[in-house]
This record gives sequence, C-alpha cells and structure tokens, in this order.
Amino acid sequence: MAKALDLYDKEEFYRCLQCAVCTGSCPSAQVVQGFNPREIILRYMLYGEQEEVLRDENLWACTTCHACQERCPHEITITGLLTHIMNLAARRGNLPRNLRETILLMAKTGWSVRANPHSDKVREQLGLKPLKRPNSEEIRMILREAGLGEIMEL
Amino acid sequence: MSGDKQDLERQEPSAAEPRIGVYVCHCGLNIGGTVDCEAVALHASKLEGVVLAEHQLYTCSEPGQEKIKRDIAEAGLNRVVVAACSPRMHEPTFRKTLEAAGLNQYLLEMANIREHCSWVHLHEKEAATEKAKDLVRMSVARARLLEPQEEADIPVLQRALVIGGGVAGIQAALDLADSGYEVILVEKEPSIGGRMAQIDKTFPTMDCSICILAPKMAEAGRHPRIKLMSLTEVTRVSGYVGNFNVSVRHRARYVASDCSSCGECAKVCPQHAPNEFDVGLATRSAIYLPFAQAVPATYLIDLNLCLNKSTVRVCEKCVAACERKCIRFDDRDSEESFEVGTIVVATGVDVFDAAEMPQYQYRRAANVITSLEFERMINAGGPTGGHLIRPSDQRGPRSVAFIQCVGSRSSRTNPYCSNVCCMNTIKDSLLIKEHWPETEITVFYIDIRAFGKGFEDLFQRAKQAGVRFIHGLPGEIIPLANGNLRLLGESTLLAKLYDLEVELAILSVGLKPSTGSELVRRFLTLSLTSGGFFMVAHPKLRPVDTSTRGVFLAGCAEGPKDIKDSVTQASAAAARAGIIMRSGKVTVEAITARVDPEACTGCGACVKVCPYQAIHLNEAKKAEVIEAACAGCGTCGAECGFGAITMRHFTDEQILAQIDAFTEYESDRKILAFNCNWCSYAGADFAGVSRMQYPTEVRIIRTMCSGRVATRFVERAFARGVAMVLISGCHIGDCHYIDANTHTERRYQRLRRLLESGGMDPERLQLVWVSAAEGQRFKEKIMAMRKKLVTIDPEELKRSMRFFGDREKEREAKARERAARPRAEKLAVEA
Repeated sequence: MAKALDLYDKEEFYRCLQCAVCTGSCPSAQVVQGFNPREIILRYMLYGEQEEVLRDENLWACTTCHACQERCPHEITITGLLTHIMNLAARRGNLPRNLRETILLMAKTGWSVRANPHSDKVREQLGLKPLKRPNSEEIRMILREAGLGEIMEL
Repeated sequence: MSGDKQDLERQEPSAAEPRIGVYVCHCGLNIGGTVDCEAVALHASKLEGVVLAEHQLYTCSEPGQEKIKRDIAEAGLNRVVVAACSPRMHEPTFRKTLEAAGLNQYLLEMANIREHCSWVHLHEKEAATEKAKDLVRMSVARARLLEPQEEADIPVLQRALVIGGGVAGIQAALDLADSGYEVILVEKEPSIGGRMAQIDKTFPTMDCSICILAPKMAEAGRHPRIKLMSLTEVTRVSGYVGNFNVSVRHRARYVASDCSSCGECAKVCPQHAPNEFDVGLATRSAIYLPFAQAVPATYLIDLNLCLNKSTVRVCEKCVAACERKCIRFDDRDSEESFEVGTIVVATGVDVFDAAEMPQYQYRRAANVITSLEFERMINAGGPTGGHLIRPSDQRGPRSVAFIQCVGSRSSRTNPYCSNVCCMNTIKDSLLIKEHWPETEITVFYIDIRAFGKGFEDLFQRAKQAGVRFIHGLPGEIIPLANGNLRLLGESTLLAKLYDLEVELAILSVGLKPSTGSELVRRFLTLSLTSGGFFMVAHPKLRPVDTSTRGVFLAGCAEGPKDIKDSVTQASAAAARAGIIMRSGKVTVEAITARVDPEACTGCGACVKVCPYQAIHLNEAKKAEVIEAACAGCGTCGAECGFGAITMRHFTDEQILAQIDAFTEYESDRKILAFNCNWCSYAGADFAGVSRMQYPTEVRIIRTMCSGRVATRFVERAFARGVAMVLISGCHIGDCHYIDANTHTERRYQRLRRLLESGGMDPERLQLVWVSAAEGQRFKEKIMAMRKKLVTIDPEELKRSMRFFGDREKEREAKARERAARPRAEKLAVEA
C-alpha cells in the first residue's frame, strides 16, 4: 500500500477543502448513487481508509472525464487519483463483471463493441466499406502489456 | 556627523585586546531541544579572545540580560556574542543591554542558531550542534574585529503623506492631523471614501455604512491640516525616513473647485455611460459627481465621454448651465513635488472578477450578480432605490442563493481567505430577510468564519431568520430559459446531491491586492506576502510597520480585513508615524561607507554603482560619501578594487574573518551562503519560523545587501576549500537598495566565468533570489545544492584552492606595491 501512495504527491491532497465542487461537477455522481469523488479523497487520502475504498465497486463509475479536476479550486489531480485507485482495485480483483467481459471481448475480437450483420448492412446502405476485422493478436498484446494479463487470462 | 573621535577613544575597546563573552541561549526547548547548547558553549570557550562562554535558558529574559551586564562590568568584557534567535528579532534588545552596561552597541554580534539551525534541523541533533558551533565560531571571529560606532541623527519633516483615501487612509490622515501634523492625503479617484462608501450596511452592527463614513470624509475634506489631493496619483518617491521626496500627478478635473455641486450641468449633459460607483448598474453623464456624499463635492468631466476633445468644442451645454462659471476645458494634468517625513500606505483592494470562473456564469447569465453589485442594489441611494431585483426582468426574486469563496481559497485564483465575505453574506442575507421575509435564502459555503466580536451572534440570527446554510459549493450553475438558475452540487453533511433552482445567485467575491499599488511598492521597496499584499516588519509585534523605515501600512493594502480592523490599523499606523515625527529626528544605523583618501585612486567605479548617488569624486579626484544619502548597502565597497572603502560594521576584514572561521572544519562538505538582510535572510528566517526542514550543510553570512558580496569574498571561500557558495538576495526589482542587486548578478556571472576558465565546475557557485516570504524557495535551493555537493570530487577542490589561492597572492602583492608607491613618490618629491 505504501508503494501505491508513493505514486502520489500526497501533499496536494492536504490542500483539499472538502468544498465538494468535485462531486458537484461530476456527471457520474448525478446518476450513480454511492459514487462520490469528494468522499474518496477524504477516505483514501486523508483518513487512510485505503482498503475499504479499494473494495468499493462504485469506484468504477468514474469515466475519467476530468470535470472534477478542471474545477477543483486547488487543482488537485483527482482524476489521476481515481485512475490510480481503479488500477489498484482491479489488481485486487475489484473489477465489475461488465468491464471484465468487455476486456475479454476486445482480447478475442479486437472490438469493444462487436460488429454484427445489422451494422454491416447499415454501412453498405451508407456507402461505407465493410469493417475490416482488427488484428486481435496485436490488441491482445497491447492489453497484456498494459498489465491486464496479470488480472485475467487473455 | 558620526565621527565623534573623542567619544570613541574614551571607550577604546577596539584598542584593547578583545575580551569576548559568548552566551548560548536554549530558548527553552526551541534551541535546547535540538542543539546541545552546553557543547556549543564549551566549543566557544576555547576560541581565541573568548573569556567566558555561558549557556542560558532564556538570554533575552531579565536575568539573562542582567548576567551580560554584570559580566561586562566584572569580567571586563568588551565584545558580546549572543547565539540565539535571528538578529532581526532580538538584536535591538541586546544592543540596549550593551548600551546599559556602558558598552557601545555595535560591539554585539548575534549567531542565529534558532531560525537558521535548530528550527530547520529538528531531527538532526548532532549535525545541528556542529552547525551551531560553526555559526558561533564565525560570530566570534567577526566579534574580534567589531568597532564601536556612533549613530547619526537625521532630521524628520513633520509632515505625513497618506496614500489612498479609503476609510483606512481617512482615519490615518485624521489621526495624524489631529495630533498636529500636516497631512497630504492622496486619492486616485475623484472622491475619497473607497470601498466603504459603496457598501450598504456594515457587519455585525448593521450600521448604515455611508452614514458613519460621510462625516469622516467631510472632516478630512475641511481639516485645516489635511491637504486633500483627489484625482491624484503618486508617480515617484525617493529619499529615506524623515525626508521622502514625493512626486504626484494631478489629473485634470475640468471643473474648478468653486463648484457648488448644484448639478445643473449634469442635467443638460447629452452623454451617458455606466457609473463606476454603482458598478455599472446605473449611468452617469460625462460631467458628474461620483456619488452624493463625494468629497471634494466638485463635479468632474470624463473627457473620454464628453463630446468635446482637446481642441474641438462641439457642445457647451454644461458651460451654459453653470452659474458659477466653473467649467474649464483648458484644464491640464499637472505635476507636483513635495517632501514628507513619513508615509502611510493605504492603497486598499480590488474585487475579484467572477468572470474568471465560467462555471458560475457571471456576465453570461443576467441573474448571477456579485456581492458588490448586491450592495449597490440594496442601498436606498443605489440604482434600484434599495429594491433587490433580478436584472433579467426587474422583479424581486423569491429565492436567492449565495455562493461563498468565489475567488478565494483557491490556487487557481487567490490562495488566501478574503476574511470579510462570510460575514458580508450573513449580513446581506439578513438584509433581504428584513425587507422581504418570504424570500428563500440558501448560502453555499466551505467554512463559515464568524471569528470576530459579535460575528457569531449575527450568524445565529441569520439561522433563526431561516437562512439555510449548505456545506458544499455548487459545481456549476445552469441558466434556464426563464432566467432562473439551476445549482448542482453536493451537500456534504447529508452526503447527498442537490439540484436547486433559484431566481437570483449572488457570488460572494473575494478581495485581491490593488493593481495600482505596484508603483508605490517599487518606490518604497516594500515586500509582498505570498498573497500579494504588503508585508509588515513583524507579523505579531510590528503589525503596521514595513521594513522600510518611516513607511507604515493601513487597511486592506496589508491584507483583506473588515472596516473595524482597517480603522484600528490606520490609527496604529498614524500613532507609529507620529512617534517618528514627534522627536523630529531619527538615528540611522552606523553602517555607511567611509573612504580612505590615501588608498582611493579616483577610478570612480564606486560612483557608478551607488544606487543613491551618495558618492562623488571631489576636486582632489577622491571619492567622497554623502553620509545622509548613504544607505549602507555596500555595493561600492564590493566594487572598490583598492580597499579604499570601508563599510562600517560590515567590513571586508570582518566578513573574511567569518569565512576563515567557517573553513576551519570540513568546509569541503559544506555550503557557504551570503544572504541579504531584507529579503533572503528574512526568507531563511521564515523557513525557520515555518519549521521547514532542509539539509544541515549550509552556513549563512548576513550582509545588508547581496550587492555587498565582493568577488574577493567568494574567491576567498574557494581558496580555502569551500565546496559550494550561494549568493542570495532580493528579486530583481525588489532590492531594498533600489537596484544594487543588479551588480550582484553581474559579479556572479563574472565568478562563474572565472571558475570555468580555471577548468572548474561553475555550478559550485549558485545565485538565488528569495523574497522574505519565500522560505520554501530557499529550502528548495539548499536541497538542490545538497544533491550537487555530494558529487564534488576532492581533485576539483584542490584545483580551486590552488587557482584562487594564487590569485589572492597576486592581489596581495599588488596591494603591497600600491601601498609602497605613494611613499616612494613622496620621497622623490622631498628629494
């Protein structure tokens, strides 16, 4: 855990005023109950409740849109922290099923959304060339290089 | 002035063998908790010239001072070294102790083992103790060479300048004038009154702001000893305490002071523009009075708006309407100069521009206004006659939201708390509730700071009146088609999101340093704190003095504060200025330059570098110092290549002795720093006060200005094997001796080239500008230098010792030759 914190300039989090502009700006917080960037800073960085936060599946509501970070009065790298926490959570097995399946799909087909006969037909009507199948071997390699190979069988 | 020879000879300590007493202060645990004071005293006791070395719990205490006095009398001490806090803190205290014991005050030397040692090396007890020993040894070396000095008196003009005519400036001017001094009150706007004139009510008493201010404004306007200069800006200040030369520019008013402010002119004026006083919510004509209670009550013409231009006259409606014939289109800007003894700076604040935060839609959505606009609206004399309306449809809002900390407590805008906004909002919410009790009011805040007398009561009253306080600022405001506003955010206390629709949003904007004060800052060489406000000489004990003698601060120029605090500070500043003017004289430190005409070659190098034009070449082609103009920066002394200039109390010999003492132990592993008294030494003190921890390898020598650091000092350090040298001063443009530090930069570059040409590493010499507020910057520099320090190889050190040692020998030989030459010439003449 100490190593995880090393990635961060913790001092910048001490500046957090708990003004809640991050949560107030967060589009995900508007729709996902229980996802609250302000609370994550408070618990993870200031109260030291890292283990609990890492087990929280709501983490994955973050879309890394950077709205919180853009408006934070102290320019705290909130999105950076969330990305880092998500990485760590995934390594601990906290990875929602839908995301896990998307990754597997990408590894298998090279696509995150599968092309199907219907989409092929629409393309044809619009005068677009049919989609080429991506080089899934290469994509699998990228996914493995990114560290996903340590979390699941790719 | 200061060369009373007989006086000096009577005391004669310089002639006698040095008998030094060293007092190592524990300062409770402040020093004693880190530094082994006993070991330091033991080390000191073995040094040459030291007859006794003590360690005490508190040297500055009464018994501590009595002990020094007794030792001077009984042990015959003729020099005293106090190893304690910064000389910026207690040097005056111990100087008085010496004087009381009959010893000249300049025979005191302080070693700073608190701010520069124990406080910055809290967890490195051994290294801190070694450092304290070094610092004491350096101080003892300097003390051996100290000379008694007599201070000169400078006459003080009994006239004060007050810059800025807000409530602080008015109060300072009135207090000074009532004490019997002449006052010149300069205001850049057409009327005095400042921000307070714009505010409707004051907190926590809910007094009418202009009702209590207007009588003071009128009093300042008619006081026989106050000369009020409105529409006037200070363009230049030179001189020193007691004798400041001030230049001002009066902007043309185009209306003579006979104006009876009847207002007939404004009625007929065809030109209109937004009114500054009402923050653009109402209009004024081209000829106008800023507001009803303005002082002076003289109209003025805004020539940018008037149809008449300098030579073109197309409209004379106001001229025709003016019964007293006061309109003067031929009026021109004019300049004026005068002299004053003291200056009170009360330049006030500007308001944060909320448009810098686009998420709050200021200037995009009509119904988002600022707290200052609200003040004008709720004011009975304001543009809406005291009715709170929504700008979009001019009807009273049924729901209002206040958003706090707009432009405060943020690294994106201003990092500090603006101090007045919480109470201002609470007051404003009560004003709304008073007039329109049905209005729903929600205040979004981070912290409510109701710290002053009577503030908490007002906060409770607001809650009783039904004002809702929600912790958690909105992330954004979304304007709706009907003019309403949607506020999205999180109430942290409920850990629930809110989505609130209101009819009006008021942004509680923060305060920021006045942009117009920059020029004043430069001329008066004032320092700034990290927020950009003027810095006081000591935050606790000298809260209205600046580090420039004779210059005092009042009101928001020093930091955001409310009316009461501004007035308190203004009265304090007036009293402090009065103390200086009352006696009619001030003593100046005996640190000015002296020229030895025998050694002077008349090269004129010193004349060129003196920032004060205090040195000139006399008829005999010898440099001569005008002592009253000399500020003692020492730039001339550093420039003189012939040893002809002595900087009193900061002599070459004293500084070289400090360097030599420093190099006695392990200088190959240390950093020698030269810090200037005003900025970088104070910055290092600040690092100490803030307990910033940095490597122990650095030892600081204090000079008045970085311009005092002669290249030969640095060369001596390298010749004696010092690993790294740091020169540190005020930022360029902030030098307390005008521009003396530009010479520092030049000498630094020369030394770097010298290192390079001798095949050495120029990185061993560093330069850093550190302001008095930049302890962090100093710390970071030392940390960076520490990294370099450990990589320097012993061969490199040997090279520089040889190189600079040879240069020094060469210089000495030349000096001997020069010394011998005049005698030979003299002999030749005699023969």
